[in-house]
Amino acid sequence: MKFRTLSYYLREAARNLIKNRLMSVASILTVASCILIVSVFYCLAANVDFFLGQLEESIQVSVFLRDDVSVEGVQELNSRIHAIPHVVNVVYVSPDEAFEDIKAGMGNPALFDGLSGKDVLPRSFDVEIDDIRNQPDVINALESLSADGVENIRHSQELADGVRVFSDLLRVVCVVLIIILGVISIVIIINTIRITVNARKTEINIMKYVGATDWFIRWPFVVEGVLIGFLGGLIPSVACWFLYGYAVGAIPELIPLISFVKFRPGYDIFMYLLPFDLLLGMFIGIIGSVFSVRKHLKV
Amino acid sequence: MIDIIDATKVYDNGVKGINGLSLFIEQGEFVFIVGSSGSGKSTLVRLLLREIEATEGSIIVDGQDLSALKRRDMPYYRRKLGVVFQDFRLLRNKTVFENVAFAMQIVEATHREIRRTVPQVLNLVGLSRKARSYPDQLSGGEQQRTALARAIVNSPPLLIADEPTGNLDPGTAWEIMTLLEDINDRGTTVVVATHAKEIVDNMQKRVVALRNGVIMSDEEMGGYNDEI
Repeated sequence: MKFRTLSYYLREAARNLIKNRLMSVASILTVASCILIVSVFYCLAANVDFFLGQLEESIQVSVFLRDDVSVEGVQELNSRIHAIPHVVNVVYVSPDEAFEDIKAGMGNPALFDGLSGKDVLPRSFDVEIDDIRNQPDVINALESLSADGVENIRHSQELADGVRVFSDLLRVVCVVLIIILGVISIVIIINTIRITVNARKTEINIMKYVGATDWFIRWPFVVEGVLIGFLGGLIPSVACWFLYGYAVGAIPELIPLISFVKFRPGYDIFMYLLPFDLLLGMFIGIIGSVFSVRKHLKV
Repeated sequence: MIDIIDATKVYDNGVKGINGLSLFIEQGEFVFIVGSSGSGKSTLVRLLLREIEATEGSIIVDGQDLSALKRRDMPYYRRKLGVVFQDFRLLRNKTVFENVAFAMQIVEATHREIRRTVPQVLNLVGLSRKARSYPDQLSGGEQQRTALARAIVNSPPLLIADEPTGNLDPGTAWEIMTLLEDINDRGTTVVVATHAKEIVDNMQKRVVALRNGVIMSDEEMGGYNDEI
């Protein structure tokens, strides 16, 4: 493509955007509205996913040891548990440490006066797993260590399964919703751009008779679509950035019950959301333009 | 320049636009295509513009068989044609200069070529002083002269005019015809489809008369036959 042709496309697109400014603004706001819904949902989904991740991390497997295991045996077991695939961390918990934890959690430590950890609790390991989906494999590996001193394994398979199912479901719902909203956006934008294209169908018709190629006609509309889509993607991203910052500060104050919930950091969301919104906007703009012009090119 | 051999066009509703029509037009000729409504004039023009395809027979323009023309090659074929319509078909949002320059932009002419050629062509059609006017600020005759300037700016070998004087008063119509004759004198083949009896009679050019899609008469230096 020659530079003067490219500059012609850019000039034509800018000229058309300004000339049809009312429709241009309507198109930009239409794209922006649809992408804002997608963005808000993305923020929600990202935070639910973040919360589930935290929940997953808190689900640990406790491995209780028999009383007859020697100190060397405990160290050997620690190494062998570490070597199990998907195990991220292993922490040895002495009976006293476990006892202190229980006392601290009961609210009335005086009830435990006169008792020591060694009297009531076994030694144990807290085992952290990389992904909750791998818990069954790790449990199997731990059970095979029973001859080496493992007496009992405590884990919450139901909670783990529940979190896993919910997490998978959320991802599917998220993808489906983004696809549905994306399709709705494209349909709306095609209709909006079609109105501007219809207003210029005579112009397209003349261009065809004068010998313009389909792409010569299409390019200014595509550039226009890209500009509309870019602005339609930028506006909701910026709006979402400010809304998110405000929500993260305001929600714990408004709803103290969920003040323990940690929010995903803004930059962690927007480093993906901004390029996604811009690309989605431009994609919608291009598809909308190409589809809208298509029928007028058959002359 | 144009070689139509036994061409027939049947529309989807079964109506025959032209029926077994054969016509040969040499390079540099000036030809009137005349006939009443439904005679096949418009079908012939649309076939030459490759807006529609012949159902049977062949149409060869400047050595190019239009039935073998692929969709992607159509723009390049149309660049060999200058086209003038009854309703002018100018771009309302562009000035006279821009409307004419537009045809050059499509063939990717340089800014220098455009700045040099467009004023020359506007001068030829007598519109030098209207270069900055918009179509809505022009009379019918001026609009048609703009369309003519656009049609010839790329020096096409063939100019097709479909009822070019249909919307003009007799005086202006005559001016347009004189311009077409000037363009023809410079070597461009000119084909004019028209109803304008007085002009056809006065111009004394080749006249091809159509009725019901077939050629009724084809006369050198002919006139408008009232029987058609």
